[in-house]
Amino acid sequence: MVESQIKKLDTQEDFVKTEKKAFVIELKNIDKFYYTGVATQVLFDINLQFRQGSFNSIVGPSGSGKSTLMNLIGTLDKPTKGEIYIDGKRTDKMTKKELAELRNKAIGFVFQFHYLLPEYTALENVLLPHRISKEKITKETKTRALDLLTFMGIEDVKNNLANNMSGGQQQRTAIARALMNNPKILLADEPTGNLDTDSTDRVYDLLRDINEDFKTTIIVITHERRIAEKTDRIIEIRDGRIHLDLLK
Amino acid sequence: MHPLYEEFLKLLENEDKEKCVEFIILKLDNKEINVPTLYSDILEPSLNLFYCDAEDEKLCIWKEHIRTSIIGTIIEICYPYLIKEKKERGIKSNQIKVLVGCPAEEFHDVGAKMIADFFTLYGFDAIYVGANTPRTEIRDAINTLKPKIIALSVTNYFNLMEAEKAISLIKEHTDFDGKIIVGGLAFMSNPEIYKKIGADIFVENYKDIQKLTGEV
Amino acid sequence: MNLPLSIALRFFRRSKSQTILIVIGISIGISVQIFVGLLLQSLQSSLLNNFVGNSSQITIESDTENPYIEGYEGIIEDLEEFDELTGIAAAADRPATIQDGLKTRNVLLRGFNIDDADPIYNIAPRIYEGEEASGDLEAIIGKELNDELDLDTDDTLTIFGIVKKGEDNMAVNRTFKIVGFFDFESEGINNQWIITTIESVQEMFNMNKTVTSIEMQVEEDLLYEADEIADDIDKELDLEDDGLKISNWIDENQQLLNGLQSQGLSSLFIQAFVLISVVIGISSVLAISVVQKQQQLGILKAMGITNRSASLIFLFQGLILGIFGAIGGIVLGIFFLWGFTQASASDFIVIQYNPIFILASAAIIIGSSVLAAVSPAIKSSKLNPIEVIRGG
Repeated sequence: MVESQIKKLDTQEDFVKTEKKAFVIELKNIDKFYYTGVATQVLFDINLQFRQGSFNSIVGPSGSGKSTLMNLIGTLDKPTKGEIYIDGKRTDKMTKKELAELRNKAIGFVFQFHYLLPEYTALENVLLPHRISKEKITKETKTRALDLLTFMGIEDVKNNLANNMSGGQQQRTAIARALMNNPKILLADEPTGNLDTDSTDRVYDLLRDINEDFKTTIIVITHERRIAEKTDRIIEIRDGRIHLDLLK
Repeated sequence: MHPLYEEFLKLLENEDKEKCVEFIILKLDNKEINVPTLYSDILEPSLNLFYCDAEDEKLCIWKEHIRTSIIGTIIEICYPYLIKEKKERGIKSNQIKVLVGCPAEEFHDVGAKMIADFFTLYGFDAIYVGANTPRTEIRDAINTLKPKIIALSVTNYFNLMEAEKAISLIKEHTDFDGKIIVGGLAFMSNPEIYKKIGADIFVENYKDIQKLTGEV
Repeated sequence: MNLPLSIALRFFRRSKSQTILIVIGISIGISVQIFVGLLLQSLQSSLLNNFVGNSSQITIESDTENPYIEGYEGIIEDLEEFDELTGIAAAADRPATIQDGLKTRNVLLRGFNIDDADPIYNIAPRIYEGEEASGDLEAIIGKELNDELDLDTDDTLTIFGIVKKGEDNMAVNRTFKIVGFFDFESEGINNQWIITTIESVQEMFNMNKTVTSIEMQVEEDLLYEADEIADDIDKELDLEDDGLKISNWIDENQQLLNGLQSQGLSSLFIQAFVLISVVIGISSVLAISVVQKQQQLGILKAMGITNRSASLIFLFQGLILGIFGAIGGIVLGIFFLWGFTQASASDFIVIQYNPIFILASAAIIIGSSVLAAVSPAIKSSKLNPIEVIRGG
């Protein structure tokens, strides 16, 4: 009886917490200009919120500003105007060092061109974010890296250098690497843009599993219908504006 | 919930096409149910239920396809009953052309077919152009048929983007000046989105269509 | 391992042949620097050694007709105040002759206080047989002279000299016991010098307590300031008033010195230019490496590596190239020098593998390599990940 009451309290507390922190990413009135001789505005007054644990896709024609939006969320770029909050913390005013730490801890990146470090094996690549955090590589971290590789179904190639893996294997390694520090957010920019159909399906299924198993908030830029239609939310960017914001 | 719903759902879950069809014909013949009620209270919920409730998506798709096929057959069979019912109700043709279809890549057309039948029942001249209709084809059909109403059915929410593109093409490249009606499962989570994609009216069920007959 | 260091090493390992080529290139450059530096240093010190190493570098002599310096012990006491001097020795030198069968040979009889003279002439180690002359009428003679005389230790040799007595010259002779044989590696000295004690010469030539010169050597690193030190001594001791004059090796070997100095300068120039080209080489190789590795740097930055760590990668690369280049260069340079000494017939140059020079060179090379990496490191630090990632 008492136990169940405690449980109830816990879940209520959890509920309050999640309500407070409901938005893991929040963009307020974002404008972005690029200056290459003349000022070009690529994003216009973007307001967006992403819920913790949601699976989102961003679609739009090339040049629409979706990658810019992704880079802003990923703190690789700064908005010309507006505020960005990651996990409740404002990022557009952070120092480079703070941003580096935030990226290391809270954000995982997956890019179209895999971008494994060809100098390192799959396992070593997966361990890199942990090493960047300057924490020691313990038995547990190694186990975690191996578990992630197993989760991705590529434990067999853990000691291969990037060049000795297929495109799909490389991308799955990159995803495992992005997850190494257990980030709240996984950002994927055209993660299957360079993959064949089978590998694309595999990567999508993995992203889905990650979202469900690790409750990672996922934002994926894609032009592939097969991926976008299965995410929980589709944000269509056109000419630097949010054209449609659709929920499944 | 309609009393026949549970019974039909059981047959459908067994994927027994023959029994399903027999069951429905029997009920229609016995006048235990009429066509609009069949559509709105039995066929639509059983489809949507299945479409939404599936835990395992991969397993879901082939089952959904079998069900859709069974329901498709039932809808085809319903047409003579529909005409009969229209006559019995004394509904006269109102000469208003309604173009019903699905945008490109939208293959779920059962809803569109049912909507076309609803319009027919209420005296409209419903023209069903089919699933997966490219927007340029919709444009051409409009320019040829000159409908007063366009009804687009969208099930997969990804296709809302295509619906939006089709609507803006219609508005730019035809002299269509009637109402654009949208409906389908895709709008359930996005009830306000119909305005954004340029539609005039969002219909949730056949009762909405019934209301429309007065408006148009 | 430190992550930037590990990445630096992996980057090298990834392009093994490229890295090996760079290290070989740097090593060859450095080896030239080491070779030229050590060779010319050795050449200089050989030359210097031959000319001034084991001889008087500053000398006080009589400036009058009377060659004898009186009260020399007082002067030596004064000289001992000068810290720059490492050796001070009085010498009583007189020309003399010896009979070799029917031949008469001119010699220079040099009377030293052995303990004082040793620091200057380094006599003891040059005695290849016997011992130093320490008692009255004991003497040692040079190798070439003995080739003629063919004496053994404990043999005797009669030396003839002339002593001025009033207006007359008077012949004197003494029989010396030969106690040892020296080799100064100079035919002139070996042929002419007969070294004995100061007292023996004073007694034989009736010089009382006088000497003919006071000879001095300065600290090694003050060798080129011998002229200034001599001037100081001159001023301090008012030698002119005593009828004495002071001379130094620099004034007497001006030409040699000019030669040595320009040689040293040209050697420095060569070394500097070699070093500059090595630094430019490293810098451009690393600058290219930053461009080659910009994808990796971009992804590392996306993963949260700090700009500081990103620049450290290339500073480490500079350091590693410097260390391996220095090791390779030193090994190669010493190998070249060894080959050079094997090939050259003359043993005039004694190669000195000056460890301080080698270590200093290594330090300069490694330091320069790190400096060469600064610009690539800054580039790496400033690299913007989105440009790289978007570029595909």
